[in-house]
Amino acid sequence: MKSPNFTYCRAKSIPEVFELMDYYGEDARILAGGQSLMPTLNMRLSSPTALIDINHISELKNIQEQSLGLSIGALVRHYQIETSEVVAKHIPLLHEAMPHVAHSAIRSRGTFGGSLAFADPAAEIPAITLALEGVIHVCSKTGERQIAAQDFFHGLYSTALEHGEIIRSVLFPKNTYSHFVFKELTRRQGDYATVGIAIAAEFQGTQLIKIRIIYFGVSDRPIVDNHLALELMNGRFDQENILKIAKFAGQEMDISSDIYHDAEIKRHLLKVMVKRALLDLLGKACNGAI
Amino acid sequence: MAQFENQIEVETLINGEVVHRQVSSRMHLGDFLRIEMGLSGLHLGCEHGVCGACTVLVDGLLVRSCLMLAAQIHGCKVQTIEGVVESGAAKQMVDAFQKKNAAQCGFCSPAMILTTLEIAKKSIRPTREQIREAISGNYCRCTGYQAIVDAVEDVFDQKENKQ
Repeated sequence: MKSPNFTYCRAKSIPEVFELMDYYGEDARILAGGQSLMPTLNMRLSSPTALIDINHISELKNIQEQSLGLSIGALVRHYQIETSEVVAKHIPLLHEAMPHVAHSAIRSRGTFGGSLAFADPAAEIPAITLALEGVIHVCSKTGERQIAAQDFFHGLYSTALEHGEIIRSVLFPKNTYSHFVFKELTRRQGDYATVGIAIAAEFQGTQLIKIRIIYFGVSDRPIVDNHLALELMNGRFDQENILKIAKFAGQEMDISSDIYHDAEIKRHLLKVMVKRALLDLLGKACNGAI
Repeated sequence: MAQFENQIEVETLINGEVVHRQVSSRMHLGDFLRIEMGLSGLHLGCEHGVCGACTVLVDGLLVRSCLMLAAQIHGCKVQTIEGVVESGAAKQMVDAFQKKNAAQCGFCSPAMILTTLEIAKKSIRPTREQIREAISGNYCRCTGYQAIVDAVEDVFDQKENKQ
């Protein structure tokens, strides 16, 4: 189908975005990569009065090494992250996840900030940002604020962003995680995850000293499993214990179904994925120690 | 506030030709190229970014033309299958598609050729599995993909035989 009518505005600076947002009000939408917004328009699922195109604002397009970590601008496109050496070096988990983000024709246009603002619960970028405790820098005409990833995702397509605010960049703080695992189960390469898992862990020798486990595609937002992390920290990090613990992964969690899978199947698949991911992590940790 | 369509001025390079037009805000790039420019090689299937039939190159990158507004190509370089074929860059792939019978109804073929040309740029020969992954964003309802993967492999065979 074709999109409904709207007014298109090309913003050339951040202040101009705020002016346009003021003028068109709450029914205006920011057009970044458009890879989720355009389908909703073409399918008539949304009908904004205006689209404010931010693609010409160059200050949103940078990947920058800063003293506190690596900053990724809201308009950095998926293919740029996928091919960035700086990202591969500083955020290996993100680098590993990028080929799973849709298809190459989507990665050409899709943006980092767009993926966060859209907040699809089965998307990779929100999950990785949560796993690595990214800090989302947002700005409005009245100023700027920083939102920790764990406070950013409020639910299905819902975030802490308020009207008049846009994402400027995301800071990935320097951290001490040494090992990462990213896995997702999809019907077709590039689809949204049925069940996905991202792990960041730190070892001393073969001793696990810190671990962060994120699931996506199983709830209305990416979720941290602190319970499983604690279990793993308290026991020995070996195959026997992993097989034992993985059976209880997501047990207490409220898991939601999607159009293809009901919640119980997802719960089962989650356990399978947790087992695979942890065994993978064990393999990586052992190899590193030899 | 009522919803109004507006006209936007775009200056762009399409298949090497400078194009200066007024476009409607709600017109997507696929419609613009087909209706306004008469470039009907790209096909519109789903119009929500799933089937891949409308793929074109924008600034050298594969893009779904149904998910980009015509208004957004201002200052960009667009290449469609027509331009790529004319440049000669697709010859080997088109021949391989014919040889391996990788085009049946032909609806997906222009976009499939643009996508497989990207795969053919790789220096290391991909496995059949990797080729399938790389074309997974393009639907084909005829071939079962087997023949398309054969065609891509054929291009790599020829490259290796030359060396």
